[in-house]
Amino acid sequence: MSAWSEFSKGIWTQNPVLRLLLGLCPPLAVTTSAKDAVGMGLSAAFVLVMSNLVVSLLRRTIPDRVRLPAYIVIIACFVTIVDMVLKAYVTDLHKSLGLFIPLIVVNCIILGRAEAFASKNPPVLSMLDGLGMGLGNTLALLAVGTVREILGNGTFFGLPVLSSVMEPVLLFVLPPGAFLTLGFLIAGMNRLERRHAHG
Amino acid sequence: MSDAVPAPRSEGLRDLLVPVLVIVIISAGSALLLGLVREATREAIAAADRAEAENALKIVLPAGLSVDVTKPFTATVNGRELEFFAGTDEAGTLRAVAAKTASDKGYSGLIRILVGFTGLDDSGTLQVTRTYVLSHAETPGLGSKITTCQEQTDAAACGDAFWTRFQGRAVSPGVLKPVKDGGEIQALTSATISTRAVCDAVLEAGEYVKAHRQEILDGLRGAPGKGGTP
Repeated sequence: MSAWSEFSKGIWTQNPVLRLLLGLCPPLAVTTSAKDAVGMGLSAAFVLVMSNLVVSLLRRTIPDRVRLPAYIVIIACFVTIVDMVLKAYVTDLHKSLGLFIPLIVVNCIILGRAEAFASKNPPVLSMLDGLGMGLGNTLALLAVGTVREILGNGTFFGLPVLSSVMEPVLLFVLPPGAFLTLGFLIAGMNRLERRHAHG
Repeated sequence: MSDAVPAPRSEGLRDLLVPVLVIVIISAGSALLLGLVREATREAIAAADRAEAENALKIVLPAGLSVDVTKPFTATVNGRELEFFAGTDEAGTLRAVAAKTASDKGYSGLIRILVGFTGLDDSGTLQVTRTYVLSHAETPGLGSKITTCQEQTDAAACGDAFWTRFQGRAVSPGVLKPVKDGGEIQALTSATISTRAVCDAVLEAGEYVKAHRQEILDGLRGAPGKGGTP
């Protein structure tokens, strides 16, 4: 596969959230606003790129039987870096994402890419894979966050957009709204994909 | 069938040591990297924390008072450590105190709040200036509305935002409770539990200030001291 397709597959055809249905906790839990969704997506993307790079560099060094603990230590290290940097320089975002930043450690997209891709491929391709998957994840989070924030709170990135059209539907910022939104987005993706496949 | 199971391969010391060594080296590398990042971000994190604390104190205390985040008076109330901060005017007179407290009776996790009080003279009635939520984990869209508009200091710009419901209230059990429980605080829609938790914390801190006014004032005027219910 070319470098371009390693990068682009994560955005559409193998979108981790909407096609592979991996790492569904953040798209459900931190998408009450578009801003939180993007912050979460970019944080996870950074961790994904860096952990893919390190796992790929060490792919011949790490013995097979301890690969999972090794990957988790590497991932946890980058997550902690993101946590400290956000706390120092983007305090507001760090406050609203709260516990979900440390929880990136157990996001299965990241461990999944380390195991399925980075442990078998060279560093540059692994970083491209991580970047594509990270952006695909961010776009999926943004899509869920946009729908939920607009319908549930009447705002988009904090700016009022619905005020004169309709009352916000509170349900959409609550957990059921997350499931509904994600379900409809996945259904939409499936439909587009099927139409595409049938020409 | 037992004879289908292959006999365990005998392992050399090397097969045992290499994985351990690799994990140790990776962990040590991570620790080193984290140490460097922590060193690099420590001051910025401390500054952000301090700025946040100062900003919150300025919000809950009446405008124009100066605050000192570094000299709190601490007291243990019902097993929880409360911190009190002084708001002093230009003449150096202590005009208001802010209490940093918390409630674990929220819908999810701890709600940490800061609340200001005025009316500290002998004759005055102790009043809540306003509240400010420092951290919480309430349901987004419901309980999280305890923070709505709270960065604002102008109540007129905030409609009936949660913090405005505490403004100027007298410290009394008949006031600082949700209407449902016989108080005067209008609960947030579908978030009575969050409302009750904040009310509880405010009332608890207020009652303590009422009962230990002199002690707190002395503590804040002089050296920072340890107080507490004997």
